[in-house]
Amino acid sequence: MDRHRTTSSESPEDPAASGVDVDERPEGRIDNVSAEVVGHDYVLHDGATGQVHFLNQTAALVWDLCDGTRTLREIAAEVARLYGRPADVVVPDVQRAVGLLRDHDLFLRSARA
Amino acid sequence: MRRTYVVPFGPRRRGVLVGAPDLPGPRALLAAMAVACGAPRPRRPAQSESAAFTLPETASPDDLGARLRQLEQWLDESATADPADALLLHASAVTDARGRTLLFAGPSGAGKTTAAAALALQGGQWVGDECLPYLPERCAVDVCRRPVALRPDVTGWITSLAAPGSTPRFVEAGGKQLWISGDLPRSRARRLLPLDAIIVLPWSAFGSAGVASAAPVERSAAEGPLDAGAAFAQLLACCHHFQARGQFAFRALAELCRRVPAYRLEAREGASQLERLQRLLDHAS
Repeated sequence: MDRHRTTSSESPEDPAASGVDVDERPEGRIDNVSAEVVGHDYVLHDGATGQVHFLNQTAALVWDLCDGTRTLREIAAEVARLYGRPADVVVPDVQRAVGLLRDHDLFLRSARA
Repeated sequence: MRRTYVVPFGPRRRGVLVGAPDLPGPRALLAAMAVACGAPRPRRPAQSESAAFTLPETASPDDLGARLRQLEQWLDESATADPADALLLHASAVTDARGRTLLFAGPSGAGKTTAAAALALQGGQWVGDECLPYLPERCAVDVCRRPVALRPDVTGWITSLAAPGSTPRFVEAGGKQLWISGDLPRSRARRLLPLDAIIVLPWSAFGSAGVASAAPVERSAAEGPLDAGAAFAQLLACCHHFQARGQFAFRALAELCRRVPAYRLEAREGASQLERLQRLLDHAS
């Protein structure tokens, strides 16, 4: 079993390094993934690969919001609203989270808006 | 005439160990195997017993440790055919002197067998080890008869805990010491044993085994209550055939960690370890 912990602060400091544009629309979550909340962790199990991913709160929220209809900017706006923070402050975190989730093949694909 | 030892294993299943008495030294070998597996007494197998292990008659019985390891392998292979509602955990379980059933999780060599055996010798009852059947529907474990294997460096301490006149005897096998004689109080429960606590042994050993480098351990470094997410990461690593059991195992272990409190315990075996464990459990209750 492979296991990975995904946090929004895991990737390089430069959000642009995640390669995720704010107008990009993450296409949506892959199928065959189970999610469980255990203690403080939001944990995903990818039934296709057997991988287990531990997400922090921000990454979990981004995962939930990536339904294929929202752009990254819209996702960031929702995260900012829920956390009571300015949207431009959370954009880099959301970019990192999307980049990491994509790196771990948790999205079907991505498309430019 | 064959002499038969009943070796129960797995959820609601029993295997039967069968030996031929005309082999050189077969009785001693079979007796040792039966004791190692906790078989209560030799008897004829019943019709309902579903699996039989027949000792190869051409094999030399001289290397007792190797033969016991062979038996372990048989039991493991058979255990993979356990019912669909069970998971097999690489973990140890014991019912302590106060009737609490504890699950010890950790990597090989972390000391889970030692701690469980020590509690069994101090008024508790040994439940099982290595391939422990866990029944998610009941949040409980089943008694598992299997040879008890200890690290060589702890056999002295374990022997010192045994009752007078019941000196354990061990045989070397695969780097471990298999307990082949001397009483280990074993659970005779005919029912499943609901778990009262999960005890997680140190993460550092997991790191060295390259298993859990990315697990959420950093916030749970101290001995004491362990958050459910960290315990979950540990149990995922302890689940045999996790890939095959997939989402059933994932959901079942998540639920276990939500329902049963977990504690982190330092690995240093000895009386102080058991005292600290009792304090942790007492404080929680």
